[in-house]
Amino acid sequence: MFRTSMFAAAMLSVALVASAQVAPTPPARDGGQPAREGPSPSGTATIRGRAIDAASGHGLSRVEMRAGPNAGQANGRVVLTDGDGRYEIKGLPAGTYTIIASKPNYVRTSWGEARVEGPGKRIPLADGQLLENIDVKLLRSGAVRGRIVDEFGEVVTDVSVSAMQYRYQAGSRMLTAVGRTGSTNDIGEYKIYGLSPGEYYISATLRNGAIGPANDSADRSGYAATYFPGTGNIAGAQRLTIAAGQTLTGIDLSLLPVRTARVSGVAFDDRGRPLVKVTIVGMQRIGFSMRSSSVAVTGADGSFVVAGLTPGEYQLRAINGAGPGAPEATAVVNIDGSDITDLQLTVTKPSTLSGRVTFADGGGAPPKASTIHVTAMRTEPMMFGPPGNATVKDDLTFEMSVAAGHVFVRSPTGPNWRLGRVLLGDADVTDTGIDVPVNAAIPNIVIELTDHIYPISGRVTDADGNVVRDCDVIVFGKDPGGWTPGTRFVARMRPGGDDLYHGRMPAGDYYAVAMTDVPPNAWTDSEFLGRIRESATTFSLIAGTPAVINLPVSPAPVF
Amino acid sequence: MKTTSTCAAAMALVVFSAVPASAQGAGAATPGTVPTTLSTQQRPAAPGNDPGGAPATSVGTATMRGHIFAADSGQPLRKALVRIFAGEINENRSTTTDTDGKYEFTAVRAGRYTVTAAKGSFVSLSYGQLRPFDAGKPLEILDGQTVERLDVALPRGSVVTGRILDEYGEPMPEVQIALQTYRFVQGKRRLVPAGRRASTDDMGEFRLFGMPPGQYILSATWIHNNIGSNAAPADNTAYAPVYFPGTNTPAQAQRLTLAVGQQLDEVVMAMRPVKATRISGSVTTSDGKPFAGMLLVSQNDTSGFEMQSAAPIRPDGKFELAGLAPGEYALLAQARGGPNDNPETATERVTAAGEDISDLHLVANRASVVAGRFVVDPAAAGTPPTLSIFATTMDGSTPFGRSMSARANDDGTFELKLSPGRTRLSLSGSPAGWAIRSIHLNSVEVTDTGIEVKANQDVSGVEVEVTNRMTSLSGLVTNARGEPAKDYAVVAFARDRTRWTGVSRYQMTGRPDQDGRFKITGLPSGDYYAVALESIEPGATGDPDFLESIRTSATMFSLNEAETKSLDLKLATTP
Repeated sequence: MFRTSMFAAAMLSVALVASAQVAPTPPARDGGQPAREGPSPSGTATIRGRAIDAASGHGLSRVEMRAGPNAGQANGRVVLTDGDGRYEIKGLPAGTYTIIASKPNYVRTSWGEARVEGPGKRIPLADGQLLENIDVKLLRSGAVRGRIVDEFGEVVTDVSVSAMQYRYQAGSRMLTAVGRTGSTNDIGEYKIYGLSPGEYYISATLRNGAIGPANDSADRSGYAATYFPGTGNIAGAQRLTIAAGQTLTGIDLSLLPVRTARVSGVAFDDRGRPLVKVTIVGMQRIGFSMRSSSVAVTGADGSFVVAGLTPGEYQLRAINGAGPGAPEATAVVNIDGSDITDLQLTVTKPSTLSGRVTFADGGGAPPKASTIHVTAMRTEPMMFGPPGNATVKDDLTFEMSVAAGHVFVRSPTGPNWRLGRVLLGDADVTDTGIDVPVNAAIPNIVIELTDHIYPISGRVTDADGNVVRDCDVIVFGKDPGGWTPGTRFVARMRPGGDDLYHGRMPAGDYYAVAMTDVPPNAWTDSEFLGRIRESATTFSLIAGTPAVINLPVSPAPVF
Repeated sequence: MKTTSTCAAAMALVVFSAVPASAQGAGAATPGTVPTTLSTQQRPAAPGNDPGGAPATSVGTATMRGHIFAADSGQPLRKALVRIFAGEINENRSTTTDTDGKYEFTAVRAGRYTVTAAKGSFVSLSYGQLRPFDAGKPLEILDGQTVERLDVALPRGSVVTGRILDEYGEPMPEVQIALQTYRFVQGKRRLVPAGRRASTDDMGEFRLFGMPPGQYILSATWIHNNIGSNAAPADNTAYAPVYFPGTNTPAQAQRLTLAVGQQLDEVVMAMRPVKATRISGSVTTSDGKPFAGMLLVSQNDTSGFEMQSAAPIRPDGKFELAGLAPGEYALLAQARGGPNDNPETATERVTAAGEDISDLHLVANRASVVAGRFVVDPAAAGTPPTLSIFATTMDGSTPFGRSMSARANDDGTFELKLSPGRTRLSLSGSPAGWAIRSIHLNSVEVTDTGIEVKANQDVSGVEVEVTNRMTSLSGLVTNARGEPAKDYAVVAFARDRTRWTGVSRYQMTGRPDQDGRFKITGLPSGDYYAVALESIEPGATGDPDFLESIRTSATMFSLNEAETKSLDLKLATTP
């Protein structure tokens, strides 16, 4: 049951990330089975090569070699290398492939990638073709080890230690835990391994609250999330650089004692009855990561005390019932050392957004209702709550459940139709978004789709005039007011087999930039767009006129 | 393999020293002689007989306090987690010790409590617990009473370190390491992981710490076998769990004996791929059409790790799974969008043994609705809190991929959506003082037989009668010399052998409190045996052979409904 719901959650997050990336051509859906359904039909082409240790040049055994039309896809074709690092993937249908090699202790590597963990080169493969020497050199991953003590210098067991990096998530640059988490053992030692070369901050947290009943202790001492070399503030943290295959040792720190706070209150169900013996989970938000921090169980009168909360932002959540979609109560609290009392945690039915889809068409056939999806996007991470998306009904109306908050209504539709605008009454809320109160029903939302989108294409070249295929082209509107989540005015494209990038966007004034080494999702961040404006080419996309914009390649800015 | 501990004595039965000598010297109590300060002699009303049903919000008036020590050094342990739990009144509290290792619970409600302490890499222990995995001694706490010196000395955990290599002799990261013991689970002896687990690092090294002393089988499990039609390696191999010193069969494993606080170093094992099983087949809907969706595969192997994968089901309903290491698997076919897309699911259990399985056919069914209502025993006093019903299979397990509980509506009705099979119903969340008196379906009692849920058929009219009139059995135990026994376990079990099942309401155990008195609450009315033993292995009462072996030393007694009975017993010799 639990695993099943986790699976659903994983599917959901994939969907959210996909829509946040503003894919220029969202996957076309014909209302039938998605294209990836079912085992791949067998073909006649073959790819062969070796997986090699980049440092020693030796073949690497038991490397998982995955061939897929899409680098991130889970169900590509997989083989394992032999003792000499050789592999052969047979029976591939004609198409375009990327090859990804992964092995524990090595950095996951795509064939032809321009930067560590960057996208690989795509390989066109014809029927019956035998492609040899697709060799992948793998860098060893790095590790960090150290010892965690308390303020008395005594070792502490079961401290969770994470390596964190700034990453682009949901439109902003946030500190995010990456890779594996370490945990201290009986002698206070931890090890985090499998780290890709790069820069990291190390953070150590000890769960202050117990799992289970509220802690009776009058002792309010706890430990803040402590960054190496021993600060509670990321600004004072030391950034560690880990090279390929390097193990940094002696990354020791002393946990920072702080006074913890409690949140007490009563939890009710949607009919005002106390929630009895229900688990309340307190999750601390650290950058884009949510960390389970404290757990409490309500009493017979619905009362609860969540204890051991160190300063920070928390989301409290009570679930009434089992399984995904069970009604729940959530609240966000900010802890600054003082207790919070009398918090009412009430199970609310999710708010609903409803309305209809219209077409501002220029003559093309509108898409079938069953292929139109609507979604509510946000700038804040949402770990809990209804998914906030729906498929349009046959009569072109829609209704979706969303959690309260500020949302942007979007519709990631097929290649020829794009979101035109979103109206709430007379107001255009496309780029302002909608404030959704708790337990609200917001009807009469009009989502206007348009096929007034015009082709943009071009070639990317380097300083010597050579065509560059492995780069990202970012096209974004000149008006920063349009840089909203899931906006139609920002697109990222990559050159294809014809050496050209292709996209379709609404008419308007744009910037265009071609870059290598663009961090994942960076183009969803308005700050990043603001920075790359300097190296951009400006152009106007005029209704009815295809634009051809050839671009020079430039490196992505480094923060 | 070398042993770094000086204490190399093999111990078949490891006995903890409950309180360190130094702590005793400091005036701490010895086990079994708990000095109590009684400020009132008033006995609390038994919760079950409380006329209004105990208002759970009532604040207690008793105090419990003590110290937590390190058993070897006698040093107080600060920031140790101490829990008190009283099942009958559903009271569950925790606190942490101060810098002197001291803890205190105030405003404690009267009840029968266990006290458990945990601290980092020490072995968690209950007050009065003598053996690993055994039960502690309960404490009968009265209103207004202050019970002191509830001290627990925690043994330092044992440690095993070592390294796991692959078939090429290279270190293998992310291998799950567990120490397993044979324990009774639902009446059968099974190998289950005990205590903590560990995972190998990039050098293939592990350090498993905080283990209670005992005899164990060390297992190494690879949880990343690729299962699925596309994801399995071309040679269709997988790593099966390896047991020390290097066998895939637990029965051929060599046991490791860990003494208290012992460290065992350099356990080295290699994992080798074995032939994996390939399964092909099809799934159809209940009306014979191809089932669209995906197949979730879950494995609960003997090493106790749950692994899950998913594979697509093709539009023609066919599927193919490869890469299954030997073991038991549960398959669940469901629609991609879950029940909203298609409410039907199909389940199947398969055993992979290296041989391929073809033409496995699964037929999906919709969840069967089991509807009923709660009724209250007319003789019960007061009204129960909001009740929830919980369904399990007859062996106590929950089928893969199903939600099994439902909360009662305001009118006492409930509705469960269940998979086919014989189903046992019980109360969820153990509401304080309330229990099931009987379950009827169409005037037939099904309390212990369960309800037969058939595929695509609903069941209605289930009547679950709850009561707060509980039986209570208590007494004292004397040893062979006629002296009061301070440490023992009492087993009460039905005289009717058909009740001797792995999960049964008709067998319960009790341990002596600080006055040497045992108390067993909530047995259904009927004819019983009772035996007092020096100790009992946890879960053994679910084993009919064990019950048979102690039956001859038993005392017979009967319980009427809601009867409070006193029964003194003589200590029997453990079979």
